Amino acid sequence: MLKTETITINMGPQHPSTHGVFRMVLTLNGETIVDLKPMFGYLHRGLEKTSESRTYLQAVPFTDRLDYICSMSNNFAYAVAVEKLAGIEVPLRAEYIRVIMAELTRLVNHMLAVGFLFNDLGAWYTPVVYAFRERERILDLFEMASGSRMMCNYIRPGGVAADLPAEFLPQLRKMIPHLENFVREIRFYLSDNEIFKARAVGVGFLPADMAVAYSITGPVLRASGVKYDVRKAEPYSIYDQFEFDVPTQVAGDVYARYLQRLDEMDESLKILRQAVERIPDGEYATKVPSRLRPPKGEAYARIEAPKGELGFYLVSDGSPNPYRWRNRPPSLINLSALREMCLGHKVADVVTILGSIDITLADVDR
Amino acid sequence: MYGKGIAKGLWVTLKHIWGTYAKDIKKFPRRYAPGGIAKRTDYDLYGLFTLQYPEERYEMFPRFRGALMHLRNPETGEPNCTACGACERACPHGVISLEGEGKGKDRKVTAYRYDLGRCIFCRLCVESCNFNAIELSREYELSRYKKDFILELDDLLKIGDKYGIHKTGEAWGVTE
Repeated sequence: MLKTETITINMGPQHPSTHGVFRMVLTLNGETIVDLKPMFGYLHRGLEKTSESRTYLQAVPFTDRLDYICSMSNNFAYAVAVEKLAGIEVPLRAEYIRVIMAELTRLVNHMLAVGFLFNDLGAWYTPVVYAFRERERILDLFEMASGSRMMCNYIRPGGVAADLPAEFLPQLRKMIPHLENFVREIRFYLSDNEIFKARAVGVGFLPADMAVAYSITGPVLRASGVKYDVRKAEPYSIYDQFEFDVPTQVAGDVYARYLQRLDEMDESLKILRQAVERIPDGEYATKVPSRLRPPKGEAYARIEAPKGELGFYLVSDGSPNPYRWRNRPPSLINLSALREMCLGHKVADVVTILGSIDITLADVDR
Repeated sequence: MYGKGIAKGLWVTLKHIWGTYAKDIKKFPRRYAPGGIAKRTDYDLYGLFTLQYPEERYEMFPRFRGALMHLRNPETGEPNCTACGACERACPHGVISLEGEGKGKDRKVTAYRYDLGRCIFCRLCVESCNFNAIELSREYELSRYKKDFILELDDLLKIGDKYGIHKTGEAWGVTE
């Protein structure tokens, strides 16, 4: 009688397509996945605990390092949490600057997400390099405003670190049509690609009810057909003053997530156009003492980061250091549904599905 | 039609290749002529380009955050630093340690140690400074042959002399 057994193999932690040091223990029946166990923590730096021994301002550079691709969004979420805790008002110009930076970050993140998805599929570096070219322009803007490409440390409790330089807004106005063109070009040459469709359509299906049950957020949730966006559901900052849609897809597979990201880039550009037009003059920050002592209490603030809902939970005991500094990372929670998406697929599809969730390991392990 | 998507992809790639070299073909002197960076980084140019580092370099933005430097008083030539220790307290990583002597207005810095290997270039030290004593320079080639990543006061002043500025935060629009 023929006797078959499952085999267990390791994928990672040093695997080129796991987007960092991430390890998956796969149980295989031939080529088909029977079980998948994500193992992470290789990049754990203890940022939450470290931040508890720093002041509220000193923790801002640490938030850059949570999800290093979208550092501005992390700054933003943390600043909103501290402002909620200490009851700080933010000037209108600062809010506009924040929105501009957050939407540019969303563009950067989705460019990388789409580019690296193709990288994982074997379209070795052509889409990524085209995405990198546009991303580098945006990072130049970040560097112009904040002094650093990725570790921006720009959005602070009370406003932003410094006013925008004079050449920032003209450069951004010049860039927006080019970015629209970039999205159009991606749609033109990648969306109909037969090889991509063969690898992506129907792969990694995540039903809407399961996505909600796993508290998946961000593009992965919306690609499953749930119309949920923190910017609309619980508007923070000045997002209620902008006109934009929350695009959704129906299919819930890798291809839908790819299309979802492109749609969101279009919406971000819409917001950017409005923000650049309407940005007022005025103060760029409220004066906040460097050793801020918020009153006793707790605050949870959440924003729609490019990868999903990013939240910060802060507890203050009245001292300059936070008593508890907790971060709700979108990457980690989106990753929890990886097993459900992968079951029944082939080994090669795991790479595609992981690429379509779009995680940053620094955000997963913290 | 099968293969149409692939043909479209190849068409775009070809366009990018053409865009990358079209400027060269149209224009002599060629790509790596002096002053060519500005032309090649022009936003209306289609295609990719490579910067021939280290022969060519970008000019850093005025706000670029590089290694720390110490500023001098333009009249006396002495360091502006009064060893108040605000930067030491503001640093999230304990990169800075300093010593000073004297009381009140005569207080002066005698030793200043800056650990370049641990610095994350967040600029919180500069923002805390009230005496126009320190600023982040635009130095970014910071690798060393030996493990001498700790810069003393003299090294920091030497970097500051290259830039010839005496005030903090001019590029940031915040001068005190």
